[in-house]
Amino acid sequence: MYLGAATTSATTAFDEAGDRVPFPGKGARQRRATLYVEAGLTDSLTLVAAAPYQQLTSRGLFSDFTTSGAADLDLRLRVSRTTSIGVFAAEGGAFIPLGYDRLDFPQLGTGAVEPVVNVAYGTSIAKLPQGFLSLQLGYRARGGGLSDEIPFSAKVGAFFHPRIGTFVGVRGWRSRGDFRDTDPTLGLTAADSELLSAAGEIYVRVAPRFDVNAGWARPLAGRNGGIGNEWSVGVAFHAP
Amino acid sequence: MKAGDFAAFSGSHGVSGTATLIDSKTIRVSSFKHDGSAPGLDLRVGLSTKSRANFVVIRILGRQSFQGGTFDLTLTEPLDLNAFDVFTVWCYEFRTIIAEGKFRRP
Repeated sequence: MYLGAATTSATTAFDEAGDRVPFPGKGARQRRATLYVEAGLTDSLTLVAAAPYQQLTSRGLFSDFTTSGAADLDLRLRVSRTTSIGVFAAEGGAFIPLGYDRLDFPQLGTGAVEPVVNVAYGTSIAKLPQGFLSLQLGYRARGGGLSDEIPFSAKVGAFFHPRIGTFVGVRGWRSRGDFRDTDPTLGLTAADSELLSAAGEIYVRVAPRFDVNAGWARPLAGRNGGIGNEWSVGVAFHAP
Repeated sequence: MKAGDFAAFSGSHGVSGTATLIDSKTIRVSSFKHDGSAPGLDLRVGLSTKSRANFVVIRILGRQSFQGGTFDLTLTEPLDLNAFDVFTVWCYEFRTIIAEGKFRRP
């Protein structure tokens, strides 16, 4: 079980062509708290659920507009298999709206159930202390007029101290949308977007079943998305 | 521009409608819709070659929702009928066009 919080603030953005421009209005801020649970159903089958509470603020020239509430529940079943060359996993599930108003501004989500599939591979890196590599690639069917997306991530980690891990990587999503058709008036949460971010994380094993982590991420490239540092903290509890 | 010219418009946030020039002091907006999800709307007119930010604002709507209503925009001073050819629904909070249409003969 993991409880995390993250905040992002952006005053610049990538436009539809990928150029850096001032964020519409004065900027935007996102705060998010997420309860993440993994429960093993069998040796190879895991139920994964993430329930976020979000606060989104769009800063207009004269007023700030804030929407808060439960966003989309991310619910998946994961099948994993350990082999001699690493662990392979496949997930299937959906993002399920938790009751927000589709007409909120800014929007917490599209208001539609969005199916998602994901494949992942993880392996150890012998040259690094407790080193590992994990790769993920997925497909998310978007609702609300958005084009489908291809989420991805790649992460390398190692424990240079027995209790302190350092992870670095990239993550983001590609959109299948044609950005020539993107409506700039919809705002950054309601129009097609794509983003590639660099991310880093420090992970501390406080006790055998208790970890804390702190992370940072920043977009490197993208289209129709905000540019801002994301700072995150979290605590994880591993049940016996 | 002459009385009777009209501009149909539609855009994001469920905004659509038709603006019709009644006379130099009146524009009638009909079948106007807005789902209420866009903040900071106003209605403005100007020349299509000019920046929308510099158009003449004739009504501030804010975030009010509309479901097909008709209303007249009555001006205290007459409009120069040669000074505009476009009717724009503008978001003044984020300085962006929500919907607009160019006036044409019926």
